[in-house]
Amino acid sequence: MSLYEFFIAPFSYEFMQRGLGAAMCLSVSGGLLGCILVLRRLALMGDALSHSLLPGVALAWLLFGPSTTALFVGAMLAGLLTALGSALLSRLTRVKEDAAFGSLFIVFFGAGIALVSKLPTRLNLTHFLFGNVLSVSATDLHLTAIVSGSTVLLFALFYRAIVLETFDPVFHRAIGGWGALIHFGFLALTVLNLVAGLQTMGVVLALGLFLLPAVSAYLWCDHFFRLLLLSVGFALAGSIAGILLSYHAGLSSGAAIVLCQGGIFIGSALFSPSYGALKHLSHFFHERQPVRHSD
Amino acid sequence: MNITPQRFYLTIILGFALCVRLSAAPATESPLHVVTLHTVLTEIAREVGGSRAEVAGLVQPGIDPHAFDPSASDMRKLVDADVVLVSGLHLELYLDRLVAQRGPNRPVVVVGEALPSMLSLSGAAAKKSDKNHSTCANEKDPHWWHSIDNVLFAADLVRAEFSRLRPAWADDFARNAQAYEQRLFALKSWVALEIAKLPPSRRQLVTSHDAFGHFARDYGFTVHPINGISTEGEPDAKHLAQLIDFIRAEHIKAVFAENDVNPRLVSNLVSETGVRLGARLYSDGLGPEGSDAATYEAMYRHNVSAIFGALR
Repeated sequence: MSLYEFFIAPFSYEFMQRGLGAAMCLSVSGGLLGCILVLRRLALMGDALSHSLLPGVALAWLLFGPSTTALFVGAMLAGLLTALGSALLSRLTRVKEDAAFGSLFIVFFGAGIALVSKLPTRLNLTHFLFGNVLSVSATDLHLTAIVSGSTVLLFALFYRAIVLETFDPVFHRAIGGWGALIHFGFLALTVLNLVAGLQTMGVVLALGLFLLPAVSAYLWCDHFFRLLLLSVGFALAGSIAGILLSYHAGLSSGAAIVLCQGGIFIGSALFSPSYGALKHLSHFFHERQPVRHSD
Repeated sequence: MNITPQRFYLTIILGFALCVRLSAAPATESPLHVVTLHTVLTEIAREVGGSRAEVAGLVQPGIDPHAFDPSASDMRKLVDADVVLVSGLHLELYLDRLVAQRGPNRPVVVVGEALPSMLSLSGAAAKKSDKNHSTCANEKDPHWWHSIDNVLFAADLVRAEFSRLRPAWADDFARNAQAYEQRLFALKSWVALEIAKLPPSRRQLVTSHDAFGHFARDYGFTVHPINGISTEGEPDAKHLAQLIDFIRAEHIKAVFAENDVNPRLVSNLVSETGVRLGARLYSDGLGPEGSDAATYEAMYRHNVSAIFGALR
């Protein structure tokens, strides 16, 4: 297979172009969001959030059929309700935030499954969970681009507040910043991007596109802005590789993208010169050796 | 009143006694209780059974039989019924469970498996030499009702089964079955005449999933499905790309959607190749009451008119 056939030929089809476009838009915004998820230790909450979208999608399908905007709004409402609900629960009851979130998302997910089994025309659950790049329509691409662009814009506008809230929330509050606003705004943006990733990646794997590049970059960088840039870079590289892999190997697109991102992550975890596992092990062995004196 | 051990055990025993139902011996003159798992089988059972059979179709029109999973109340009806009619050929993924629940003395009539071997068919994808689908070469096409010969065979099979269980009414069943079969013969002649007007080079059917294999074999079509045999699968990108190339190369006039859970796939195909979208086909069963495909004949006529009209 020539280089042309491998890299360029798949994208002569419109559906592949749209799929790539959607994946790349999501990579940019997801790379940014992922860094915050990693630094603020919200990774598992992101995972729970992605599961909680199901009843919103099922309800939207039930009421409005396969309309993209309806699915978008439905999923968003479900995700925001989960985040808001768990915050309220942890403030008003004895339950702590992590247990509240964990309980609420699973209830929502169960409700979603029950709804799906009652739908007149069956929502293809595999498609919802794992995505299919083949069915990204023009509307999907527009919505994804808008969401991604808004995320980048908001990041740029609130950059200073985000950095403060991530690294020193007490100081941020002391100088009059609204920590809660940043926190909820960030959650809302995550939900929005997860919903945008429904078509290409599916809801279970969309989070992978956010988390994996950020974690990989975390193993290389010490500086926040460089972390953001490298995370976006890894995300873009992984998405393109993943879409090509899904085309040539006949895999589900979401799974292929996550596998490629995962490869980058494992590679970084092992071989990163400053923070990788091999370096760490070599330090360990080096220190075990007897100190050599020059006598 | 305090709960002594004696009172407790007495209550338990009485409770069990109340739960024991004394079932009466079944009368041989009560109507046949038939439960079916496909809309076409529901119609066959109603036509052959007439007033002597009470037919409950668990798969309603509009529900995808590939994805149907019986609920607890459905299973109860299935276990209690006198006759259960299913398609088999892996259309119902829960068939093993069902047969186990009904037990050894209450058989399930698996119409698809009972078809003589020359009437059954392997999937279109299995015949492709490149085999990008995961279907194995032996996977049979479970959409048996798209061949009128199969439905004729099934009607006779149902008649035989009903007559075995209610021998007193065997004549009624035979009469009903014969009337139904006459209508099916008339349908068959009409279809043959219509299709004969379409030149063989135009007989290319691009559909959402591989449902029309039997129809294609009967009338000389070639099926090019987007998905495989089941609606549950996902097409892969390379197969879709090859389909797009094929449509452009052969100048296919129209593609056909079905009752899709993923209408975007077909609409993407249409927008990319500029091909026409034909009328929607009924691929997995009959349409709902009031639609133009509520009976088998109506459904078949609708499909043939749609195909003929778009490809002419």
